[in-house]
Amino acid sequence: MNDLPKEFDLCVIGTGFQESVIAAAASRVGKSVLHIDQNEFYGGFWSSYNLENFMNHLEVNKAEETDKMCKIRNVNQQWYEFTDEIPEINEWNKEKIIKDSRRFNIDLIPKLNYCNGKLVDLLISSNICRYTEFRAVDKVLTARNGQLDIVPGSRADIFTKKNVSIVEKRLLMKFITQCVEYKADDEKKEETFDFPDDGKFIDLMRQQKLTDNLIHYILYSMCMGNDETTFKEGLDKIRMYLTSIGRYGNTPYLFPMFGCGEIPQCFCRLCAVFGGIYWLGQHVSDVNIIDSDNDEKVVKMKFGDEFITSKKLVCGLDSNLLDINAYPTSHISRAVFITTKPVGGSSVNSELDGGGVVLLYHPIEGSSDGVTMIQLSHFTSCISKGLYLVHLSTPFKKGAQNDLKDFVNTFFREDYSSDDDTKPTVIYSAYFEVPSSIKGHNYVDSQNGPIFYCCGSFAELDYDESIRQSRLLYSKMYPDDDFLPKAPEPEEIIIGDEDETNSSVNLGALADLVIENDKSGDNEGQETVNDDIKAENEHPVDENKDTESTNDIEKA
Amino acid sequence: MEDYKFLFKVVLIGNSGVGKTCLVRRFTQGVFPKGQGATIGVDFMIKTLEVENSAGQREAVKLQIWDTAGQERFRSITQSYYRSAHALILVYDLSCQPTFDALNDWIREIQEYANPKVLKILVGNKTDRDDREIPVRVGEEFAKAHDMYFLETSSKQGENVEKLFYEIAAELIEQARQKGGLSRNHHNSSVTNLGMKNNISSFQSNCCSGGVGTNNNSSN
Repeated sequence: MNDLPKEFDLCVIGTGFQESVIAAAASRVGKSVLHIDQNEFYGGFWSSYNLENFMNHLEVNKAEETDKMCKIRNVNQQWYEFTDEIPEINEWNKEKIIKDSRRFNIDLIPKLNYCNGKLVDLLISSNICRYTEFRAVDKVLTARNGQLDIVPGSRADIFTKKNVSIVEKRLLMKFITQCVEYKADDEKKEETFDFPDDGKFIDLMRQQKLTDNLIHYILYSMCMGNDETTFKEGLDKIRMYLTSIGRYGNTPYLFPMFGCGEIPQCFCRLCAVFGGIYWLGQHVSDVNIIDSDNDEKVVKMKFGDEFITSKKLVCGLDSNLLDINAYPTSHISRAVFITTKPVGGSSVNSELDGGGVVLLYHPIEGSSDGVTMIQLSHFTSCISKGLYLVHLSTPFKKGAQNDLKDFVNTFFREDYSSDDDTKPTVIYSAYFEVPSSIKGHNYVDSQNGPIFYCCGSFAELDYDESIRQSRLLYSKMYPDDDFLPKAPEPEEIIIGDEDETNSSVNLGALADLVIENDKSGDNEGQETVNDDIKAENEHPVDENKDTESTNDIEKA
Repeated sequence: MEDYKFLFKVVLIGNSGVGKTCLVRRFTQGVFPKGQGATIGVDFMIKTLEVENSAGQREAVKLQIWDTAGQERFRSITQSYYRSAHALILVYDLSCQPTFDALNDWIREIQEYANPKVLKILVGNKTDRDDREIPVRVGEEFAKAHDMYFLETSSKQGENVEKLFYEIAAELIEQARQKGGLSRNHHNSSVTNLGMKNNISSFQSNCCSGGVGTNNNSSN
């Protein structure tokens, strides 16, 4: 079959986040990797779709009622019913929006990243950051009694905030400083906080005499917490929030340009650069564990018309090989809306045509969970200019529509009255539930190979738990190998004289080929490159980028 | 600070074996790799060139030239490969009809994933071969029909390789100028590239001085 090798160190089925991280990490340290996906596109549940493909994908999955645990379920899509009186809303209607389908990148699982979080660190430490770009989150909103308000980020924000008194500003600055400086084993705890780890964060804030106003900003917005949040959880969250601000501008969060579907692809690209073989739209069958010639367990499987063997096999959540009984799964309730106005109207939007990326976290009354809203404008290359893409997510309780009902009623409307700009009219809505894994569950320890199973996404804002699980699985599979060490810069690789013996550079030799900032003369023809790369780091690739241009994804 | 005015991303696509990697290596390093094996660990090459603009001045341009990393073998190139490319070089082997027949599939892929405004160049590679299967005229016509520039090259002998990249650079400069001088100093600051180490410090000093950002500094 197309002179594909018959033996691999690792075969990975599915191109979701964890599968792609494992494939990249294994390839990076020299394992031979075959990475396939049954779909003709990358990402599985982690993919971004254009509008038509998104609608079709949900329809197709809606039809299947079997094996619900690892499928999208309870899909309900609706378009606003345009009439002769209201043929369009702000110049948009169904036909016009569908015509723009390819300008959309709609995520099944939308995520934000802390600027100081694990994904950003991993992308930088592995040098995978060169494959993607991010948009800074423009605004973090919070709501009190149904009224939306912008959460202050920087000190400047705090001091210009009108509804925060001067006394409150001082209290807030002092509290924030203490949070950042707090060390659990510090002897001088009295200078910061002397408080038990499992005490409630809200009690600490009250002890510190923070007002309800400030507690609201800190606990429900910056920490995405609730009244039960412990001191330790709250402190970790607020510190992550605060240390993220300033790393890439005045924002704690980043969103990937073109949608989150780009993220697994970045890892796949690295895997390919280090020799991984990619083949989309492929299945394996007849999977068996057999004894190899040297008495090791290997996986033999049918691929196309032939059999291949692999020392290890990794299966994603959407591969039909997953042993679901051994794999506790939950769901995330989701909604996707298209609107012509941003949430909150002019009270929180200085330029109504602007937007960008907006985050709103809203606790659900009587529950420890909240609803996370991520609103995207055309600046993310995920939607047409003039439209807004709204993602709602919350852990599954009773069903997507039920779980999100109160939030939707508070901030959106189904009808259209042109004089009310605070609640956007929903032109398109899709409710559904995506499978997720359970945070805190140990998915790795019971796995002994040679077949390993990946987690799905977690009900978290970012990728931190997914990365933690990926590291755990990888170290179980390859305990002696590094996890995604930095890939060399292009100018660090010196390709030796080309003769038949070393024209194909193998990884064992790569260490010898990598030199750090060597400016000595033996890299002939590359002197310019060496000097250039430094400027390269200072100036991003996308200088001529036109964020308003069409960049389309289409998936079969 | 590095002295160049423009930085452009150029990506290569086309079937396996048409000589994409050889084109890049010939241009960036002046060598023609004899072996067939893929070069592991390399995903783009950089070269700075001087190009004369329409006003007759010489300008430094940096090209970042991306290769497919073998993902073209089974038609599994990541969409993100096409993102933010300024120019796209579609290569076929003029001594191999199937690589020319595959161009329609590649055009479809470009239309789906690449920016519609991207500069497109069709390249018939391996003019050194004496078993040509695709006449020049056929290649030219295909390029014309799909709104692409056209050139035939030989990475083995170096024919037209410099010309290819210099013309791309000149055309991209011209386009940038028409768009209103999008030089590197006019980068859209709302898009964040994580490798921008320099900007981090400037953000911290400008935007968050004495504020939360400072706490961040002291805690690290």
